[in-house]
Amino acid sequence: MGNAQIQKIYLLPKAPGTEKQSKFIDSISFTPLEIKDGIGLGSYSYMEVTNDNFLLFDYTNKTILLYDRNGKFIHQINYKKLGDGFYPNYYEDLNRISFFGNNKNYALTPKDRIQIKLDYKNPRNQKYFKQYFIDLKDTTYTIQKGTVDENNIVGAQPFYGNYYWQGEISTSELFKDSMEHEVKIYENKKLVQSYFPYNRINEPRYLYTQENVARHRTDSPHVNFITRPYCDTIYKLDRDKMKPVYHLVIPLENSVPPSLFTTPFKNKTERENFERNNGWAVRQVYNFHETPRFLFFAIRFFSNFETYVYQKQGNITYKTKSIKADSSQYNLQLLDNNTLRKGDRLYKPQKAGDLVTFFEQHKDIPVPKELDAFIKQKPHPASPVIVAFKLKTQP
Amino acid sequence: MKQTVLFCLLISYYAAGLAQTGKVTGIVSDAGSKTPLELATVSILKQDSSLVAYQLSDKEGKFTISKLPLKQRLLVSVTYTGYVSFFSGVELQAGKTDTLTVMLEVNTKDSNAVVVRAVSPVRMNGDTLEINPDAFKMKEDAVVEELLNQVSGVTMWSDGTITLNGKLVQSLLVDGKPFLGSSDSRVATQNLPKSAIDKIQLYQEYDRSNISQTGRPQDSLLTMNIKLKETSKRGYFGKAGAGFGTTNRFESDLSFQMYNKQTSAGIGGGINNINKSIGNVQEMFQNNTYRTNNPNLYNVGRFGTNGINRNYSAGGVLTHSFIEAANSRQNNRVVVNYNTSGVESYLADISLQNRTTIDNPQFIRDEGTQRSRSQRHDLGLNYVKTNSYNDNLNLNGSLNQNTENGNSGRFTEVRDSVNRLQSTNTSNSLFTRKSNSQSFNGSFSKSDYEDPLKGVSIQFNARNTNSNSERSVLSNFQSFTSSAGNNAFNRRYVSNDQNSSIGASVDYLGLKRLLFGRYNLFGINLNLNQSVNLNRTVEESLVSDFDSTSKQYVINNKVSYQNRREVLEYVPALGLSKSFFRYTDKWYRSVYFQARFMEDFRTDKNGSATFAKRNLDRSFQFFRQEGNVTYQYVRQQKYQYFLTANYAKNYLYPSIEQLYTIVDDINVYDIRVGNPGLQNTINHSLNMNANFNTQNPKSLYSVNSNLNGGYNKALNLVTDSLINDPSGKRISYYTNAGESENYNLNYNLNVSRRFKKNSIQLMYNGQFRTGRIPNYIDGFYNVSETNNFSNMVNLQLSLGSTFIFTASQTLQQFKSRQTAAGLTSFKNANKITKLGVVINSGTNFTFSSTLDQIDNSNLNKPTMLWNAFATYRFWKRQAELKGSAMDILKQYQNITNSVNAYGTTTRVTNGLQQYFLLTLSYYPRKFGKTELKRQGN
Repeated sequence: MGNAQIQKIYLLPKAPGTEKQSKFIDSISFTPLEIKDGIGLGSYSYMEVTNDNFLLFDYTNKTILLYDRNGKFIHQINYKKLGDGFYPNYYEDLNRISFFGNNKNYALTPKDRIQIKLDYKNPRNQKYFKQYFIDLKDTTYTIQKGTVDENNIVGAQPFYGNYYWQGEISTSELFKDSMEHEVKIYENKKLVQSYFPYNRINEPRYLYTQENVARHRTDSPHVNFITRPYCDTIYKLDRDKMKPVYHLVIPLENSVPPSLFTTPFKNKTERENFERNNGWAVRQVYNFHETPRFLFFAIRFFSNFETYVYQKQGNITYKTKSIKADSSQYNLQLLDNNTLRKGDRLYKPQKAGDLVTFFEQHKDIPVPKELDAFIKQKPHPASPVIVAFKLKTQP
Repeated sequence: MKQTVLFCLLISYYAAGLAQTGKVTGIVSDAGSKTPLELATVSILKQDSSLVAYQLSDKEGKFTISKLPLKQRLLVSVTYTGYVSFFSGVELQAGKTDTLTVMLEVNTKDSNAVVVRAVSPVRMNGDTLEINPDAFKMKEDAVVEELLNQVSGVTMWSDGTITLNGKLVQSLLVDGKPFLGSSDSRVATQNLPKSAIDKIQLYQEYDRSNISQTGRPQDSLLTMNIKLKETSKRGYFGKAGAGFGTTNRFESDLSFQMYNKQTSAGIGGGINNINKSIGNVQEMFQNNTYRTNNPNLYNVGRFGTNGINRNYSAGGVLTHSFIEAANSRQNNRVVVNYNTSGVESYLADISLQNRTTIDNPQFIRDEGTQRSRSQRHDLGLNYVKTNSYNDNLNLNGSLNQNTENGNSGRFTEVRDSVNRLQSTNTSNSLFTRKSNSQSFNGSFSKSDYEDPLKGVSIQFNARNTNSNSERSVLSNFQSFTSSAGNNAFNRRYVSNDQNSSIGASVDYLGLKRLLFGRYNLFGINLNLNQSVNLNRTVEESLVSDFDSTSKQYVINNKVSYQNRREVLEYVPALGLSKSFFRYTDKWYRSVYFQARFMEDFRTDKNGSATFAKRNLDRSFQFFRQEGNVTYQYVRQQKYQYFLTANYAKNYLYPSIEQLYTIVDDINVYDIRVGNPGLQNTINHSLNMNANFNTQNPKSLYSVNSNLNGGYNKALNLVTDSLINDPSGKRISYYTNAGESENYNLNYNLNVSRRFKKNSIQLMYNGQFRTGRIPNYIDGFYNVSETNNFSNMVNLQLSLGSTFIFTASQTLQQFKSRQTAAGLTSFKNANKITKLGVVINSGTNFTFSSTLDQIDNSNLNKPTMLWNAFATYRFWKRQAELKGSAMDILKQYQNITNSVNAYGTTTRVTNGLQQYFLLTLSYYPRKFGKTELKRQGN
């Protein structure tokens, strides 16, 4: 790991300034999705864009809406029968949606999970988990049962090609060997690289918690941004090579107190008190996304969560909450934690009702031609519309 | 004339000179982004660092501070959290405005930078709603309650409860702990000044009482935590007051409490002869708070209390936390309290009773007087230790001692339906009683998500009571229907009773894990409970009658007794429960089922040295079952409701007292006789509870309601067979008779609406009870049906803190109906209307008044009670002079109605009459290092 090109991000989490959204984004375009009775956008929906499809995930209602890239409705997948604990993940390489979770016939404690992980080669331990998938190449879109393997048990996820990566962090006295790494890269089942060693028996900052290194995709499947818990450095992982690329400079009031790294918590309560007393200390960076002018990311503090846009020139931080849309951008608040990046574009699902209301109130503003027919159909207020836009490359 | 003009010109010039002041304006921006900074603190200081003026920058970062002194070197300071502070010197000139452009640099180095407290009044910090007192402009000594009244979404109900967006605040803490060991929020909210508070936090907290409820969907406790400023972590407050009035009425109250980070202590006391309830030391703390704007109008002499009572009470409480943690997860504290109290009472009463008998209803007039004196001492100790939300150790110990003595005289006469005298009874008695008790109970519960095998919940209790009494009774019964029934007694009772009990209950929460390992058993949770209880009683009563021949008391072996009883209960129980839940982005719902199966083993051993039949040992074994269904529905940001229903089956076996009663016929109007043939009773009970509350942060309305219903059916009920003698004598025999049914319904609805700083609250509650109890009256099978219907509505209108108006009305109806031919049905009703008004003039003077109207169906005209109070606070608002005018109309009467299955009773007693009282009180208050400076206006 070299740090020759490391850049500083002067982050001010309080970010008191407000700004117009038009300063940050342009090239807004719409893809109205086919109107279907009883189908709408949930309050906590998020989306995925594949080569062929728009996918709208609604975990609270346990549905996935599938459209083609022109907005034509293809299918509604309901996964209620899987129960809670099965989150859909889209894997681009395989073009499939995968669900992995606990077998509800078993109740596992954190200790059980570690014991199972330690004995991951034992095939009897596969029964504690279940895996399902939906193959998007199969037009029946049925939920199929998959097989649980050793990678699933140790928490290794597909990286690219034959490579898997593992970023789960936990501590326990059940581990006999204290040496562990926060990031491990496997080729099939063989460990090929590991980064960031820690003591998995009693590393102070990881006592009484379960953490994960976060991986943020870029346009290259083998290139990812990596962010670690309680770490102010953002790394870039290119295949199995890791290098730091950004360093967060944050006010002391948002910095993690040094005692987290040196003084072990005596019990879980001490940790909870520490976290509550440091509610605005930075815990981890998420959803890191880079453009030539801006950085777009979220920060999980100990008790709070905020999404930011950082203007590289001038080192200015803006909370996305304080970035206000105006009528030139149809009053659509497009930047938040559910904003998806794909290529040079950002995507956000929007409820039709917001647009209908806007055009009713702003009759002087022409309806974009791609929305014209859709609006005239008087869609249900919750009917989804995909908004695509770009972060500006020029002031 | 010239001199006058010159003088006027000089005055004008001098005034103009005085009026000339300077002004500083400017704009504060982030140096990097040039973004305006809102709420930056701009301070103007003199060279000696004394503050001249300050202001917060507006949304555009602008500020304008005027009326500044001219030709002086002033320092302009601009601070903002996270930025390097800006300082600049200025010297203002007349007619000129200094304009500053302040560019603040981000501070990434200095941890000791000036921190300006955020002045946003309410904000979310993670899952916690934080209220910032500094953002509310109020008078310096305003207490927390007044502050909360101004916070959107918070409702301070007139009964002292607090809701946030309709949801009840169930726990109020100060720095993570109950304030002064009190569970009543008012001790904190009506005493702590706003200026002593850093912030008020509202958050959901795990309810430790649910630790043993494995798998049950948990409704967390909405908790309010008052976080004191670091400089106010120690302080004291209280009240000392004394008042004297007409007709020798007086009152005196004392409460004094002090606290620091780990220890708090308080003493309280009171004495009065105005029937004012003093209560224990915690009640004294609650009743003597500093609150100014809405005094408790009913913490005064109680006209509804029977008799004239001289009450006194004194006590103290000490709490100490062995750890300094300011959170509610970790507790390690002890609370010790002691209280002594007593009453000297004089009671004179007349009771008029309608008693139903077959074809011959009787009217009983009973009048008498009683003088009594009682005193009690209570010592309590409570220790709490928790390390997290998942464990709880709670130990309680108490010692009590009571003494009571007195004398009474009663005269009773019984008449028939045409007012013919049937009998009279005269009774005079002297009595002394002493009792003491010692109790200890403890509980420990722990759930361990990491290791379910360690989950356990244990309760333990032990109690011992001793009592002894002496009573001498002279009575003379004279019948006008049959002289054979006449009797007279000169009897003495000497009794010694001792009771001790010990019990324990253990819930093992790891049974499922123990039996099934990681297997989830279809999500069904198992709970194994074992409970055991041992109760021992020894009763001795030596009864002797005066022998007029030998002039001495001779033991009466028919009613003297020595009994021993030992009851051992062992109940193993298995509980099964399962919950289901569904949710979407708009709602959440859950259903929970629980069933418990129990085998009830009981042995009941009785021994008597004097009554051979009472040497009876019995064993019982019952299989019982209970069930519970709970449903919860939450509509996000709108409302939630909660329904639960419980069913339980239980067995009761007749006690030795019911089988072989020791019959004492000294009270001729109520003689009780046992029945050895009594059989067991089976009880089925069904209870349901529903509550609803809004939780809409945007709504100006706050609504919460609760409904409780119960149905109880008893099979083979032990009831009475009454034989009424024409003379009024009554003998009650225990007997089994069919089945009884009881229904009860309690409900309340609270609605509040806020209009800026004004609010209106409507509280409605009521209860309905009806029952059918079979019995025999004079040999006829009868079912006594009773109805009790009560409704109360209370309205409170608050116009800021200036004017508070309350109105309430209570309607009560009692009905009793007998199904057997020839028995009489009864009903009576009363209506109580109460009006109250509080007017706060400025900040020092308060006028308040109450007017109660009591209507009783047995009275020709209603009774009115009008009280008025004028309060003046002075001496930095720490002293108070209060004038009370009680029963201004001088027409109050103490009348109560009651009803049971066999008739109604109207009782008239002596009580308070009109008096006027002047009370002077002093409120010592200090929070932190410097005493509060209160400003009159």
